[in-house]
Amino acid sequence: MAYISLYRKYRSQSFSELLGQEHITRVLRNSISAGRIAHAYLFCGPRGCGKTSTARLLARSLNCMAFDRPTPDPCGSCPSCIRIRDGNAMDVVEMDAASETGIDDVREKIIENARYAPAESRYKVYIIDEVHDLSQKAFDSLLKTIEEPPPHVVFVLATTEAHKVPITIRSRCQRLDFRRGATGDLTANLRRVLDAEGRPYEAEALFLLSRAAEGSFRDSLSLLEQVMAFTDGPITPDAVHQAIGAVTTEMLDTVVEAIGSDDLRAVLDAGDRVLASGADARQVLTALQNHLRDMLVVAFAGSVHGLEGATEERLETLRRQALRFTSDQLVAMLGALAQAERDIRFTNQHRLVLERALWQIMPSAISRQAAEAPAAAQSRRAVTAPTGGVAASHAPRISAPSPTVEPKSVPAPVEQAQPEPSSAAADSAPFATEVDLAVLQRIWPRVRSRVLQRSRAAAAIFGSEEVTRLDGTTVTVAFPTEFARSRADRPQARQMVESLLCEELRLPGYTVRYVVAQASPTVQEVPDQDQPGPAGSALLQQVLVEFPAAVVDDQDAQ
Amino acid sequence: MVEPASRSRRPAKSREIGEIPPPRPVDFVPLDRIVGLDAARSVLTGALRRNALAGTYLLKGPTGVGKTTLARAFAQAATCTSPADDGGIACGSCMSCTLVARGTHPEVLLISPSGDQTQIWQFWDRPGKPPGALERTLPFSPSVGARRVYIIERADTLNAAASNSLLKVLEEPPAYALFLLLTPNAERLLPTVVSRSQVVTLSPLPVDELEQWLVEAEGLEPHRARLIATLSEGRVGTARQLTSDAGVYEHVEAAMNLTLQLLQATPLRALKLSEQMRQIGAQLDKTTQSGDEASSPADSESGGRPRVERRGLGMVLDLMAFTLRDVLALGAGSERAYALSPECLSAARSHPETALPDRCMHAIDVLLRARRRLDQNVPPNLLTDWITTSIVVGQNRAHT
Repeated sequence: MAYISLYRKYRSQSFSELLGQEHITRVLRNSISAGRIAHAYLFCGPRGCGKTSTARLLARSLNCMAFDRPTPDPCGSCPSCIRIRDGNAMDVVEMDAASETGIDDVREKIIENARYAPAESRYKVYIIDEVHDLSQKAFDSLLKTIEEPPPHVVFVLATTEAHKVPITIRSRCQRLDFRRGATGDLTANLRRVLDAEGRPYEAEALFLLSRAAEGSFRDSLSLLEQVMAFTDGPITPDAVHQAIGAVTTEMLDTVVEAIGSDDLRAVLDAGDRVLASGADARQVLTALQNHLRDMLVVAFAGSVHGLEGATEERLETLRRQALRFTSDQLVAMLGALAQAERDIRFTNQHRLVLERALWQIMPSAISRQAAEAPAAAQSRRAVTAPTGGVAASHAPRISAPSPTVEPKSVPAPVEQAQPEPSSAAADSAPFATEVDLAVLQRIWPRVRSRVLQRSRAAAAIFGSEEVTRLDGTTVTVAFPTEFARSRADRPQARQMVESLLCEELRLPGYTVRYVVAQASPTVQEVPDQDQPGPAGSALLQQVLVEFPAAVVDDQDAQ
Repeated sequence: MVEPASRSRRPAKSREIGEIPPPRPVDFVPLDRIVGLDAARSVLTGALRRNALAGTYLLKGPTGVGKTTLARAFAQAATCTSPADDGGIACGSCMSCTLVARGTHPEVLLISPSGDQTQIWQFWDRPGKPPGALERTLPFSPSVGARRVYIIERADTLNAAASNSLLKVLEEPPAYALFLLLTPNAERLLPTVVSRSQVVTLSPLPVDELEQWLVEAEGLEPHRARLIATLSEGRVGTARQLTSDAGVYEHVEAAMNLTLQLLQATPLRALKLSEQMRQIGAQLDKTTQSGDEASSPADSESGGRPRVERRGLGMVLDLMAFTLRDVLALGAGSERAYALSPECLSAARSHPETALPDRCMHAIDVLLRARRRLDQNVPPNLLTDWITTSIVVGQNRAHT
């Protein structure tokens, strides 16, 4: 006998085998035993969650010959059940609406046929799979038949895209929404199949497979089949990683450690190693997102949701890795990775996109972006405003192999790596704990941009003020002119600034004190560095090089 | 600086413009003579040997890695009527094998995009169109070979109607049917299609191995072999395409030098460099023009220069991005394999400030975005101007 794919061989043969869809099996079983069978069902839900299987089960339940009425538990061995299973029952018509989309197909197969009584069983069941692809005309031609079909007809429409089914069809059907399978259900299903196939397996491998399947039972079996084709031995985590090109946890650990160390070279090397192992760039991105998500969940939400089945050791590793980041950083990193995953769909330069994503999520890059966002908004208002010297301090650290970087050449030293300082500190306080002047100076642009968002008039006042001192909870802000200071010092304006500042710091009770900068030394320092303005002498030199020209009069030179 | 907007909101073109096209596998290569692809090959032949061949396989791997070559070779093994090695290897002499090798097997059908898309009529009969490939073949068991094989090239170009029309067929094909879907980018396929297939990943050769192969089998000088192996990222087809003409190397070097100049340039030089970019693109295009690309229907339809010019420019953008990546790695002190030519390498070393990570990152970002715009029909000269000015201006800003 020819080989049959696992997902066909192990289609659910009874409602009890249908995992993860209890809300649907219950409806169907109850309505069958109560004899209240709807004349049309619309099954929708993501791929591989059991729509077609359920439709066939329903057909069997309605027609099983072992009972004299529809039964919630079809026998599976009567001629009717067997014919339906093999796909040659006369009264169960399965139509592929995606290749037979036209009105003629519908007329010929359904409308003309529905009025005749079933040939050999109780019900005529029409399963219209991929129904979203029927043409508009074809849908319309079905309307009357679906609304009031003869008593012996049951329609089952199945689709992954219910929104493409016209509302007039939807309102005539009983709609049942299938869910993605939970990881536990997928694992249970894999276990059932492997037991039946007689292949030894490791539980960890099944966990990996079910996660990779993203809630689709069919995907999980397709993946399992890939692994089985890859190896003759037991199903081990290693075999899974190699066969489906999944990214191993060790690799993810290496990448995350590299990013945490904020060392460009380590990040580049880690990315290189991951790609050299044959992993697919998109899978790396997905796996990394999952990993960061796990870190967030374990370390900051303090739960193990979605991580059932992971070992305590693994959770501990995640917790330790999370210590290097704040929750804000992790969220920003997730955002950048999601963006990269979108970009990768439109390019074949996967490697570059991945590498770019990796260096974009380095902590230094993240904080620079956070600092730049308000700065950019501000520079739209005042083009000439000098951008502060803050950015320089955020440039990624480039290190020769230094003691701060763990030896990255060994792929899996993570387990016994550094015993990090007290994990309790991070558990209780994920946010900045100590506010010093540097912190204030870093977040001030954010405060400023939020002030500007609230009040347009503030643009005249704010822009070149600076945080100069911090005494306890009193923040000193220096303005270049007395005018700006006095305007900013009005009670209402002050209150707004103070509340925004506290919000940004996530700490209450901070107040601001406004002063006029004495001869504002800091303000003048910045623009007058070695780089002259746009009309400066470097440009002039360049003009002289590029064009046959001579200096006649230089008014800028003072 | 404002990014030039694309003229159309259409999704990216089926084939990324400027991607180095693989040489058309006119010569049939039998399964045991294919270079690399060991893992994919063993998965496929293993399934054949165990008589556990699924109905649908999705072969994914970057352009030029050898998807079509492998698919055709495997089709021969799968259809052979007197296979050796428990069914894993084609005999090469039966009727079926000969026909596959000649490319005229009536039951091994190759379906390629018609224009930018693969249409539903290519599979099922539609009025006013040529007969569909599946309509009158799929229901009948094969008579020449052991199986019917359908190779669907560039499966990512299947349009919505076509992919939907294949869903049921791919899910439960007749026992004698074998579908091989090929794609460089599985994400562009309908997830419902992917979930019905066994995904086989075709990984490129490690760069070292390809380099060695280029030296030994193709007789290349070592440093050129190194460069080409790195540029093609281990893809054999791409490497062969790059070695097909000696002139390519020269232009590759020119593009690298240009990149380094760009990193040190002042705003005034930006437009001059932009012009150079276009020139190198045009030359690269001329030297790598393969018969395939010139005659493929997609090109003759959109016709004429503009599209061709884009292809060369796309290659220049890729080369520049590669160069920058190497410069970045160099600056970071990484010990990665460098594709940079010796002259470029010393030039980059002598100007350490070019390797400032911020500059390189920014420039790569610009190039990647430009790459996207190129596929969206932004005029080339506007694009190169934008690239050079934003790289130069961006780095000046980073400098101040």
